[in-house]
Amino acid sequence: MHLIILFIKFFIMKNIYKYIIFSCFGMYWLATFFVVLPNNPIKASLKRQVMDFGLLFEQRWSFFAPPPKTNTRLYYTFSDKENSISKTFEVMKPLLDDKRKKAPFNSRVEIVDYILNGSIIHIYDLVIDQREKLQLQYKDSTKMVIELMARDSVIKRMKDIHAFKTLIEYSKIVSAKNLAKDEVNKLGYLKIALTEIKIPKFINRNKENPNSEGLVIETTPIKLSDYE
Amino acid sequence: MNKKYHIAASIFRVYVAFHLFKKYLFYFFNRDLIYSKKSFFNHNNDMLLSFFNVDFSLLRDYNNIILTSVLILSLFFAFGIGKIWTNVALFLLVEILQRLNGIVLNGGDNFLKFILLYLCFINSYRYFALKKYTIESKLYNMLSYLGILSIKMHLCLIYFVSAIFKMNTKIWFSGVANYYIFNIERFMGTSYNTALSKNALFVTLSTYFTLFWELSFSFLIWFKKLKIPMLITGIFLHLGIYIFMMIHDFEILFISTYILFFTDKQILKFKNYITNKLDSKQKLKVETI
Repeated sequence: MHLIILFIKFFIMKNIYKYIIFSCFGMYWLATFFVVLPNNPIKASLKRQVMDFGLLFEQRWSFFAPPPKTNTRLYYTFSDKENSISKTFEVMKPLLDDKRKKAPFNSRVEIVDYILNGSIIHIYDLVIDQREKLQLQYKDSTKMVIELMARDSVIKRMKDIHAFKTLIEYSKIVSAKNLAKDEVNKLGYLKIALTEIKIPKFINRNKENPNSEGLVIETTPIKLSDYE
Repeated sequence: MNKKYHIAASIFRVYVAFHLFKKYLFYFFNRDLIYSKKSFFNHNNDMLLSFFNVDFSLLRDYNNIILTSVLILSLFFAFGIGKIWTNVALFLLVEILQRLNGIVLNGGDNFLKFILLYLCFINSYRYFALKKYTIESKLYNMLSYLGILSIKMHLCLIYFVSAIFKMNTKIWFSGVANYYIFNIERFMGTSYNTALSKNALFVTLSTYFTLFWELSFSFLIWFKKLKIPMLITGIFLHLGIYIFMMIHDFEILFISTYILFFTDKQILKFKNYITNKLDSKQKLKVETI
């Protein structure tokens, strides 16, 4: 009996490294599996552990699920110091046309696209987040009122939102590119507007001019001197 | 674990090195946009690096040194110089660069991080290295096998998870998702996208093909007779995305992982087949002359 126990101990010790490796392998894959799955009760109960693992091994594989049903437009309206004369420029369409023309050698344009669209998506997410909170708070209010309150709430916090700061910084590049030097020096205010053009429903795909552009968010006039 | 993947692993290592070099060379020339404090991009600090009290300002100031290091290490990696240490250093530096600016990243960058991690455990230095690693070690062989298996499992996981998220959305389920995808201006790779998106047959077939292929890949790829058809259709799918959606590096990286599904025996068999074909063609030419 004693010999059998000794033999088992020796066998386990000899192969212990295999057990350690396979255990680590198994635990890593189990954790990975939980982190990438859609939200479920088990994932919810292990929220802290999932977050910690996700911090080290961050991953998201829900590509185009769902795909966007709109195309974005980014408008910059520059005004002089009296906020009277203004000029508006849309920047997204020209950027994306340029990206397509230069493909596959479009790295720089692609980087600008990712930065701008990443910032825009972040702003949309903030509006959606705020909308959901307000819907719970003001259950009797109409959708229109909630939407306006949500946008207003995000605009009020603009100075603390990195995405907005990015768009404001980008406006300097836009103004330098599109305005004369003396016009740039006279600039005082900026307004940023994000709109969406809906991709028509599949059933309406062959209809003439079916696109509709809707406002998502528009800032109040931003004093450019605050961001120099 | 008796199957050997030394050739595939070595070829894959060389490709990853090339992929890293190309990517970070572009980033080097565009570092003013991506990493510099002078960029219009307003950086927010990564949570994990903040936890370790990393000085972001210092990293941004010396981003050119980090990028240059990645470029040099990529070259070392291509030639197998420094072996695992080069690999580990690359993993850490790429991780830092990815966390310095996460907004320019896509799924390919996400997968690349894991590939670099798994490559640390893989013996990919048996071939295409200045100093080949030919020592047979049970432990290293086991780790190597698990590393290669991890890359394949991660690929399967990505496809599977992507498919189940898609299945959960109405437009994928009803077969019209590719209509919307082909009309997204950000990813409109060709002027044919709009015309193709209006064709109901194309939209429905391509949507369902993508969905079913992604869903079935994780299961069918392990069957000998279905492996090659699955990989060939995968190559076409990714090339289609490359052309029609202007997503470049991501697609080629995913295609490159397919080589890890072939053992040394299978690759040598294929190589001998090609060599014999070329030899017989050469003989025919000589005979006709």
